[in-house]
Parts: sequence; C-alpha cells; structure tokens
Amino acid sequence: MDSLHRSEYAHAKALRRTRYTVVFAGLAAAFLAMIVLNINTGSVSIPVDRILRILFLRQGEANEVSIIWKIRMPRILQAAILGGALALSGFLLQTFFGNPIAGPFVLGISSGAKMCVAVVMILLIGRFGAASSWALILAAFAGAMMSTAFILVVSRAVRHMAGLLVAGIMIGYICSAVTEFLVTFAEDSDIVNLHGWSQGSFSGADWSGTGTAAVIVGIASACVFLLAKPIGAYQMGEAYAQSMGVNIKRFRMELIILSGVLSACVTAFAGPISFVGIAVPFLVKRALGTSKPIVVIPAAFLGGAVFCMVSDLIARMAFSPTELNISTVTSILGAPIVIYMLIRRKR
Amino acid sequence: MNHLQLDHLVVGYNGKALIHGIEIGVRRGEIVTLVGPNGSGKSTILKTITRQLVPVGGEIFLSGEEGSSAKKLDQFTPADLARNMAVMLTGRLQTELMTCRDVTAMGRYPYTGRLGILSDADEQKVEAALAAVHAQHLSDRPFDAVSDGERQRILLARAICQEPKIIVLDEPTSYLDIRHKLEFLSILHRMSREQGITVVMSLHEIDLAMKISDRIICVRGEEIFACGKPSEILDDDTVRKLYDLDPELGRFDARNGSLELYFAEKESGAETDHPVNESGAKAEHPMNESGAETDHPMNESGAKADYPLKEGSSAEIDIAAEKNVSPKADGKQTKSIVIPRLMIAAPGSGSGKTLITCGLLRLLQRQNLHPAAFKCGPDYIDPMFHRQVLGIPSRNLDTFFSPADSENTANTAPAVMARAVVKNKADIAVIEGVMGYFDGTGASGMEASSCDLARQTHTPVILVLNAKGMSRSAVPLLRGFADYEKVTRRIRGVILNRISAGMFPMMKKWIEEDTSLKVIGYLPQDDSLCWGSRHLGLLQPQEVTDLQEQIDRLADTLEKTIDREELLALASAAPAVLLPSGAGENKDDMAFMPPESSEKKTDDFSAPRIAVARDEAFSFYYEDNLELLQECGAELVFFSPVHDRELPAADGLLLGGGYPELHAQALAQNGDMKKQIRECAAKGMPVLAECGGFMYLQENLVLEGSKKDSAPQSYQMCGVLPGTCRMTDRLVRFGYIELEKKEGESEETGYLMDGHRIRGHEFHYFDSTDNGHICTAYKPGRRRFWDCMVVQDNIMAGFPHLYYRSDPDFAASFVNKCRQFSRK
Repeated sequence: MDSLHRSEYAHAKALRRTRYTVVFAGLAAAFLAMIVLNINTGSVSIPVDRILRILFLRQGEANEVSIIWKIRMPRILQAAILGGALALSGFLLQTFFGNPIAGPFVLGISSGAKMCVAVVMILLIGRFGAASSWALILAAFAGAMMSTAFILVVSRAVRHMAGLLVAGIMIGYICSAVTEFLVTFAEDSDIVNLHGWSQGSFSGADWSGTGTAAVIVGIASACVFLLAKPIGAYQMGEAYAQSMGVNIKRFRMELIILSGVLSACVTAFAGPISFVGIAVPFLVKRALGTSKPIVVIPAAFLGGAVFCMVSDLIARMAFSPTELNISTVTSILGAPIVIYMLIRRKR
Repeated sequence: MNHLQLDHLVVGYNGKALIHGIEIGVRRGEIVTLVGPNGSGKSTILKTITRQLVPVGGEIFLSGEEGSSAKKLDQFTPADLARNMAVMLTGRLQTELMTCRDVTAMGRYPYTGRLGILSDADEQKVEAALAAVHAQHLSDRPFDAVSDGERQRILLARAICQEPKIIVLDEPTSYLDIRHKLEFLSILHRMSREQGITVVMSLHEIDLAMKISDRIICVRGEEIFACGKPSEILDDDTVRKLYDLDPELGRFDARNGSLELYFAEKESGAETDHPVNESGAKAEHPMNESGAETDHPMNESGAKADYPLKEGSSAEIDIAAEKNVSPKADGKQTKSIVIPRLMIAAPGSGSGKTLITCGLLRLLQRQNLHPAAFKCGPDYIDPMFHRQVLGIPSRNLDTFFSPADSENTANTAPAVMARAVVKNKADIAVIEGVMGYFDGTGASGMEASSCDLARQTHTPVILVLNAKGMSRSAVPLLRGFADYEKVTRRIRGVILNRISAGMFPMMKKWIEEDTSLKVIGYLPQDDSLCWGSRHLGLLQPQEVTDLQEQIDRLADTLEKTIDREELLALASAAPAVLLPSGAGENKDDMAFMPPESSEKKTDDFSAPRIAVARDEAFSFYYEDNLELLQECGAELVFFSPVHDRELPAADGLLLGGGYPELHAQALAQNGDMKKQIRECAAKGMPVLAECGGFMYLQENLVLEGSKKDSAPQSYQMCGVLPGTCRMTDRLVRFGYIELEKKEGESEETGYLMDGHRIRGHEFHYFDSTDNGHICTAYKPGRRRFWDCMVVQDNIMAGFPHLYYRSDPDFAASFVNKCRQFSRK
C-alpha cells in the first residue's frame, strides 16, 4: 500500500469517526433536551428549580412530587425506552426482509399484537377484573409472532416491496376486523380502555410497567447489539452471509424473535405506534452515512427514543389539555419520510 | 489428491433431482468452468458446492489446507468452511450506504471477533485485496454508485479478503464489457497460478471459458454433457448440441471462439440481386457481413465441413418476420412474406403421404383456412389429387427444377412457393414430400429430396409413419430420422398411419419421451381408403370413384385424431420467406414476381392463343408451366383430343404428357382431330409436345395385346412426326435431366436457344423408333446422357417433360413463335 493511499485512507477514516461522533453527540443532546423539556412541560406549570429539587432531593409539594415522579418521569422514560425498541425492531425487520420499508406496524405485526391484547383484555378483565402487564406482554408477543409467521410465509412467494407491504396491510385489516368484532360484544368500560390503548399512548405509563419494559427492552437490545456482526453480513444477502460463516437458520430465528419481542413489548405497553420503526432507522442511516449495524444499532435506539419523546410531547401539548394519540403524531411525522424513501428508491 | 471432489453427486431443489451422477475432481489451483444454456443447472451445482443447497444424493469432499485429508463438506463448521471457500454470486447486491471498502471488508468476517471490528492487520488485508483488483481508488465510493465492472471487481476483492483456498463464482463476467471481462479473468488466472487458489465458476462466454479454463464441464439438463480440456471437448458440434443452437440463426466457431450470426450474413447477401451465385463461396457458406473473409480466413473451409448440405438459399429467408420490407442501401428492396407452412414427408414411399396430405388439406379448409398445396418433385399425379380437394391447382416444388443457385430469382423454390401462395391468396402452404424424406439424387443422394426442399424453403416437417405392425420400434426409427439431419432438425412432428386408436396414447407417450418430436395425431387403418398405383404413384383422381366422399370421410376421421392446434402451431413456427422484390416501379404484392418478359414489351400486344390438350389422355402439366406461358403473353384454350371433334382456333399447340396408351383407341378413332392437327402443323403452327403428346404426334402407337400372348395392337396416331412408339416392359429412361441443344444442329432452332439449358425429367415405358437427336439430355452429374427431341418446322417434341421456368427464354421463344404465326 503506497503512502499516498494510506494517508487518504486515514483521512477518510478520520472523517467517518468525526461524523459518527457528531451524530451521537447530537442525538445525546437531543435526548437530554427532550427529557428536560418533557419534564418541564405539562398542563400544570412547575418552575425548573422546583423540578430539580423534586428530582434530586425529592423535596417539594406533595402533588408536584407526584406529578413529576408518578406521571411525567415514567412517561418520559417509557417513551424513550419503547421508542428505542420500536426503532430497533424496525431495523431488524428491514434487515431480515432486505427491505427498507419493513417495520412492525406496516407488516401488521403491531396489529396482530393488538388483536391478542384485545382478546386478553376483554376476556381476563371481564373474568378477573384485571390483567397484569406480563399477561399483556405475552399476549402481544403471541400476536406479533403470529403475524410475523404469516408474513414469513407470504414473503417466500412475494419478494418485492409493494407485495410485502400489501400483505402486511391485509394482515393489519384482518386483525383489526377481529378486534372490532370483539369490541362489538365487549363491556363499555373495556371498550374505553381498549380504544385508548389501541390508538397508542404513553398516558398510562407507571413505574412498574416502565421497569418491566426497561428490563425486557434492555436485554433484547443488548442481544441485538451482539448480533451486529452477522446482521452486517446478512445485509449483503443470505447467500453471502452463509458463505462467510453465518449460521443462517439460527440467525434468522434470533432476528425474528428479537424483533418480535421488541415490538410486542411496545404494543403491550403503549399500543401500536406507527412509522417509528421505518422512519428512524432510515434517518439514522442517512445521518451516519453508513448502514454498519455496530453504529446504527445504538444510534437507532437513541433516535427512536428522541423521536418518540418529541412525538409524545407534541401529543400532550399541541391541543392541551386534550391529548392526541401518539400514532397521530408519529404518522404525521413518519409517513412523509416513508413516502420520500419510496420516491427516492424509484429513481 | 483432489482439492474438491464431487462423488456421484445429485443436485436439485427440495429433494427433487435436477442433475444426476456428477463425478468431478478438481485439483488444487485448477480453473474449472461450467458452461451450458440458461437454466441448465450450472448455478444449482455451484450452490450445492457452496452448501447453499443440500445435495439430493452423493457426496462432496473438500480438503482444507494443502496436504490435509479431505473431509465431507457437511462436516465443516460454517466458519471453517468460510475460511476455505469464498463465493461470488449472480444478482445485484442491495447495499445501502456501504462503501466499496465496507463491502470488501466483509470478507474478513470469518477472522474478526464477536463484534466484527477490524484489526489493523485486517485493514491491511482489505487494502491489499482492493489493490489486487486495481480498485483502491474506489474504496470510499458508495458501492451502489460504481459501475458494474467495478462492482464485480469489488466483490472479487471481498472474496480475496476471505483468504479462501477455493473460490466459487457464478457467472462473474455477465454484466461486464470486454475490457472488464478480460481484466477480471486475468485477475482470476493470476490468483490461480500465483497463489494456487482453485477456481470453480460458471461462464456464459464459451470463447473466454475456452481460453481461461484448465477444464470445462458442459452442463445440460439431467446430466454432465461433456467434461474435459477445452480443446478436446469444445468443438462446433458439442456447442451446438449443448446450447441447442438453431443453425438458421448462427453457430459457434470453436476455432476462432466466435459466435457467427447468420442474419447479418443474410442481410449482406440480400443486398445483391442474386445473393447466392455471386461467388461460390458465399453461396455455400454465407459469412459475416463485416468482411468475415478477412477476419476469419479459416472460416470458409471449416464451415464447409460442418455443412454437408449447402445452406445457400438461406439468403432467401429472413427471420425478421415483423419487418415486411427492409430497405437496402442500393435502393433495392427485399420483401418478406409470412407463410405458415408444413411438409408432409415419410420414411419411404407407400406410407400414406398423399392420403394424409389430402385429408389434412380438407381439414384445413374446414377450419376456414385457404391452403395452397405443393408436391415435392416432378410428380404430376399427386397435385391432381390436391386439386381435387382444394379446387385450385397444386404446384410442383422441386429443387432440381428450381435450384437455389439459379440466376433467375423467380425460379427458386421459395419464390415459386411464395408466388403461388400470393396468387391464390392462401394462408397456409402444405407441401407433400416425395419418396423417403432423405431420398434424392446426385452425389449425396439427397439433392432434390424432400429434405433438400424443406431446407431451402425452411419448412417444418411432419413425418407420416406407417406404423402398422410396429409399436415401440417406431421410437428408434423416428429418432434416427429426426437426428439424421445434422444441421437443423426440420422434422418436428409425426403422424402415425394405420395404427389403432387404442395404441395411439401409448405410442405418443413413448415417442415424445424419447425423441424431440411432437406426435400430432394418427390415422386408423381403413381399407376403403386406398387409391392404388399404376406406373408410379397413385391412380389418377378421376379414376377413383366417389373421391370427394372418401376425402370427406378421411377428414371426418382426422378431425378426431389430429391435434389441429399443434398442427397449426408447427406451421406457424416457420420463418418468414424473404424475396428480392422489383426495382421499385412495381410496389404491389406481386413485385417479387418474375421480371416481365421482354417479349411483352414489344409494340405488339396481341395475345397469341395456345391450344392445350387437356383430358384423361393428356393430363400432365406443371401449373407453373402454364402460368409462365400466360406471363409471356399467351392465352390458353383447352381442348380434348379424345372427345372434341374440332381443334379450337389457335396460334400454337401444346400437347402434354399423360396416358395416351389407355385411350389409344379413342385417339385413333378421332380422325377429325388428327387431321386438323396435321393441317395446322403443315401450315407452320408452333407445336410443343412432351412424352404422351410426342407419342400422339408420331405415326403409330403399338401396345401389347389385352390378353396374354395375343398379338400387339397398333393404333394410328397423328402422323405429324415420323416414327412408331412401342410399349416395353421396363422404364426406358427416367430421372432428372438437363437438356442442351447439340452443336451443329443449328439449322432447326426449336425453342431452346443455343447455350441455354432447360431442366426436366423423363419417365416412360415406351420407346420410339425416332426419339430425336436435336438435344442432349444429361443426367445430373452429366456422366450419363442421351439424344432426344425432334424438331421439324415449328414443332418441337420429345419424351422429356420440361420445367419451363428453369429457362424462361424457352417459354418466351415458344410464345413469340406463336405470335409470329398469328400475324400471318
């Protein structure tokens, strides 16, 4: 290797590093800013100094403490955790299908989860008066896996993007139809719960749910990060990945289970949230200028967190005191990005 | 020990075997290339070697490090295999936002740690691999933004990075231009020679495969077609079979490693008026437009060896059917006509060709089609049967009468065929073959055969097989027939004659399994459908009672036993017929018709009338002969020397062949007719008489008595010419002839100009005391010859049956004489 080339190479490498640093710093800054902004924003206005005291010293008016600790903090953290999970889940599905438009919502995975959650909610709450978050997660996971399995079958026959999308949308419709059917015959109170949940919202966040979500998402995300190497190989296609020594069968299984767990977790806690899974990985890859999983995975997680926190903030504040559904906001923000992607690919 | 060993390998998908019995050993450092048509299974083999597909049967052994013992492929762990074998696959990679270096660095996968982070050593190897493919300058460019050639090089760099002992590539050069192909293959070659890396790949470019490979494996469906050193196995014939090349389109020249395209030659050939006889070499071996003579000096001799049959007339046929008229540089135009067509041929005489042809003609008519019928060879009788079915004349197509190298472009077999089709507004042409499909004359024994005609007119052939008393044996017989035609297999379909309905499904299955032929249908045995034969061929149609009813009955049967769709599909598969058209003044459909006779352009437009004897005694006329006389300006009036008492008013007389001996008594008794013919001849009326007509003009016709041992019977004929004809017990003279006027016989001109030659044939059991001596008749090859033709006043007569179009001046001269006579 000649020295000229070596220096060019070093230069390129340095440029890349700088770019990664800038992106991560930006995301981190946005993350912190969103936390501050979110805590600071609400229908009850609390000055910053009092917020800091409540946060760090746990001192202050009782109702302000409970607003911050019982309502705002868990909600912020849940938005961050679940947003990250959604983005990662989308990234995994995109890798799996080799298709940038794949995501839990588009492929009907969220709808499947929602259907199962609806079943569990109506049946269990009707009988036992309550349903634990674990039961909801399990139901959501089962639903997510069901839809995923269906998509897998369809994707063998339909390789192109549009076909896969249509299949996903159809699954979504089927699941929604089943859900609507259940709702028609459900108690009024269940319907209210279910309706609010099914539109997606972080309003029901509490510490126990947040803790559960954090554990599950944390473990799953760590696993995803450890899969960065085979994911990178898999991006070149199954055949190449196999030729480089990836155990394809096992890898595919891992991928699909992880993305299922992540999207099921989100759906169980916050309901189906649209477009985060597609838009965030896309934006993050553009910003980083690479699709290397080892950098994209943490960045996508951070990006998803920021995206959801921004969306949640807008949902809360845009028409305060009326809260918007989170999906309303994520759709308005995310759908144009997806359209842009489609147009770009056509060229 | 072999680096890679395929042992009784069976490959396929989902447990379904595609290719059996693959037995290949690849030595270390060897370049082995798979060639074969698309979909032949090359990729399947490569995918099985790279473990993307599970073998359906057999084993693959791979040895790791040099000297280590071979292990079964499925005993390697994924990572272990990855360190031994790298792949490069077809299909485009979707790599979002990956630089070329990122892609290359993927090759280090088997060597990096848990998170796949490259060490400095790894990075150096990546750079080295990029340098090896001369792609360092690309390293920071996005992979999806570089050119195809660059992309392939990057993928090769990726494979190199993997530090494999063996590299498997699936069509690596497919997207590349010539320069990149060469670069790419030279890199592979260097890797194999310098680093001892074994290369197994598939290539589409046979020429390159020949040059780079140590060994070539030809894959074609189900089996390894051939395997060995390129120089040993890749000849024209193997390549043609391997890829099932249609020699009408082109061929692979193994010597030069080049693909020869015939349509290019055809275009260059069509630029001249007479493409086929400009130079002997061109006619026999059409060559590339771009001066192949200088580029490939060896072509000519090589091609000749491969083409036992002359492909001369291929200049007449164009594959581009959709282009009706293609303008040429010199302003001349070539016209192409789409004519769906079929030839009904057989392994031998007596197979039932005529019967089935007639049945099919009626069948096609019932489909609301308008068939034009043709008979291969000089036969007069079969066209009469065709005519009975169709109601329009049937023509003779004969490659001896209408040779491909004729100077007269109006008289090539495709031109004669096209003219008849256009004239009759026909939408399908059916040609009945003659004798056995390959039976002909000349040195090869195949000239003027059905096969020769099918080749010159590019007509798909259906073989009628008399399968009575045959079952499975029909298969090898048909296979032999189909395969015997080496260059192009024109036999595409079979009709089984005289088998039972019960046998048919089984026979069809056997034949279609083991030959390339389609079984179109069958005709069950029906003894009431037998038309018998006399001297040659069948009885004349008028002698068969209720012929129309029989043909209808035949067509009723065929309607049930023939796959009409398949039949029409076969006919439609024929390429368009391309003909040189007129120089521009004549733009209608008939523009390719023969050049107008100069006679017609004289100031005298009066049409001489020619009386043509046509009845049961004189029935042998080539439709094209009569047509040519009309084209020369004559008006034809028909009369019967048997029944009519009066010769119609005419300026000339044409007496064709036929069976005057069967009507000798009636002819002899018709004294008025004989007297009038004598008077006209004495007045100097031009008379042309062939065979039976010639016998009628002579003094006496002597026949054997009707009963055994009874005395020969003599009948008085016209007595215009001296001599007596006697029936003998054998064919006196027969076969194709070429007639030429003898030198020194110039006092009597006849209608054949000095130096001109006219083609025809002789076939008669009679011999005359005066056969004439004005001309010499040469058999093809010109080794056997005899005297013939009487010329007296304006009479020209003799035993030969002539095909006027083979010397258009002959007919013109006769008509001109008639015109002169009419002015008197």
